[in-house]
Amino acid sequence: MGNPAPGQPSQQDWILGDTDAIIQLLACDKLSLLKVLRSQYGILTVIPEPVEIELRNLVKNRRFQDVHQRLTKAFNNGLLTILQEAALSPLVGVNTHEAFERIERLGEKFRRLGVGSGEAYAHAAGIELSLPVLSNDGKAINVLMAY
Amino acid sequence: MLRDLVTLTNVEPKFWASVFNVAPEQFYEWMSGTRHIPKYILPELASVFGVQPSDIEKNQFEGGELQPAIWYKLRSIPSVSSTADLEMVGMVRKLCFNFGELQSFLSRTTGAYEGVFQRVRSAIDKAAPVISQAREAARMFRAEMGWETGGTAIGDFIRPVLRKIGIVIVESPVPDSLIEGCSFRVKSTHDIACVFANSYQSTWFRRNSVILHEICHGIFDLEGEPVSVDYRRETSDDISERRANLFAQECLVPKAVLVYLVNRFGIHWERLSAKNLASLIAGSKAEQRLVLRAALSHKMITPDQHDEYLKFDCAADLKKLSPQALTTREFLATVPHDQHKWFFQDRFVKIGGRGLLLPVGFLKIVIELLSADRITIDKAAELTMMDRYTFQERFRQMLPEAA
Repeated sequence: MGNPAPGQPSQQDWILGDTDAIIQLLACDKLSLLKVLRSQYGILTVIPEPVEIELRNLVKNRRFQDVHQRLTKAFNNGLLTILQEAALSPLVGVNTHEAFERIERLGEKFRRLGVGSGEAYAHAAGIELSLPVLSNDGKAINVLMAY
Repeated sequence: MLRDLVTLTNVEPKFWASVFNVAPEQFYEWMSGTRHIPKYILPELASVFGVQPSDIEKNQFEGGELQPAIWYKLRSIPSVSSTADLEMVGMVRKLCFNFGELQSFLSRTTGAYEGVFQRVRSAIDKAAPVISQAREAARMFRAEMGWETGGTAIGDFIRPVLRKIGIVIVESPVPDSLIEGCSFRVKSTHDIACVFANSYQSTWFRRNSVILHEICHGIFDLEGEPVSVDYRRETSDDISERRANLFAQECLVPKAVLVYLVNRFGIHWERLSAKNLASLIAGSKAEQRLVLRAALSHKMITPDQHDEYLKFDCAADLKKLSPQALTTREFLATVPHDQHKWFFQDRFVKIGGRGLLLPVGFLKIVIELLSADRITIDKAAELTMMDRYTFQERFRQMLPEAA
């Protein structure tokens, strides 16, 4: 992402993650890819709260028991950041509350269209903030495009 | 408020975390208020706990006025003290919430059952004798459901037809529960009526009666009550219980059905054999006790004959006549091995330490919507209370392509 135009809010280089994409990276111990994005390209991986909830719950699953620590570490060292209202100002200026509300409303709408909570809010944030979404399930896009 | 609600239910927070698919630590954080509860999950919490979404965010109970009636009532029933009962109600309420969401994907946002219940309820004279109330209500209900067709037994149609009018029927084994059946309403995208029948040490024939018994409570008794609970071997003389028993009997074995079966099988009541009785049970899709009670109430047998025939062991003959009479193991021996998992294992979800058998019809709709790209695999997993990987593993072969 380029430099912001004068008078415009400064752009931030973010990529939004959905649950499945992040859990696959965790399971394969490939979070180093996110580290590369951050250190070499300045791109931060951000996840909406429903994705965080899903991830924290999934790592309780016996299937993912090895990745529990990796997830905790990723949150602690900022490799994964939870999308919060206050952090939106570089992207949307002073209207962070309105922007966050719009994401929540769109996320809720997407959930009602047949998409899981995590992916609904990841795509909603992607649309509202004009940011790319890291996902490995194209079906969510198909479902949403159908409406 | 969430902490107060959890305390009121008498169910461990860890179990609730599992119901709502949240890590226990995170649920504790919501309870303690150290983290806010995300807005998107408020409707689920509110629906299961029986309050308004805005109530969950309140700091306190407001002097107890916000105590949800259903949990208050469940706690006040001495026999519903076991954790199993309370956890089961919690799981089923969550399933009902999901059923409401599922219906919204099918553009069904109103429960047709409400109109049916209302019409039946308003047509019945509550001052009339209980038997008259039950007979008239059953006759009307059968007509509303399209079941007024002479001697045809309705046992096979109960579940799909009730589901079609928006009622969730859950039959799942809860071994350590005394509850045989219960019914309540849940707020989802619209009001959902739910009937639960405990399938542990129960038969399909028995559950036909339990389901209709609970439907009767839904029609007459759930207007002013948050929940109706019935126990195994309950012998209440209460009007609502007698009406519900008679309603179930009149729905399943009205005189027309009994007369038709008697003629069809050439039954002579005075020399009834166990084999004859098995034919009547298989034909009416009702349990032995109910068939005989119906025959007695229609004066086809004497009280002495009733007592004598009640002792008949019809199990072996019934198994030859009806697949529903087979035990799980016997039934599985009749179907191809590759379908075994679908019947039980794949429908079984584990929530906390407790299992819940998902209704076949519910699961089929989820898979159909997923196959048609109407919902994603994550949504399918949410609705069926599994994680996406378990869902994928179990149903991969039923989907057109691996998602």
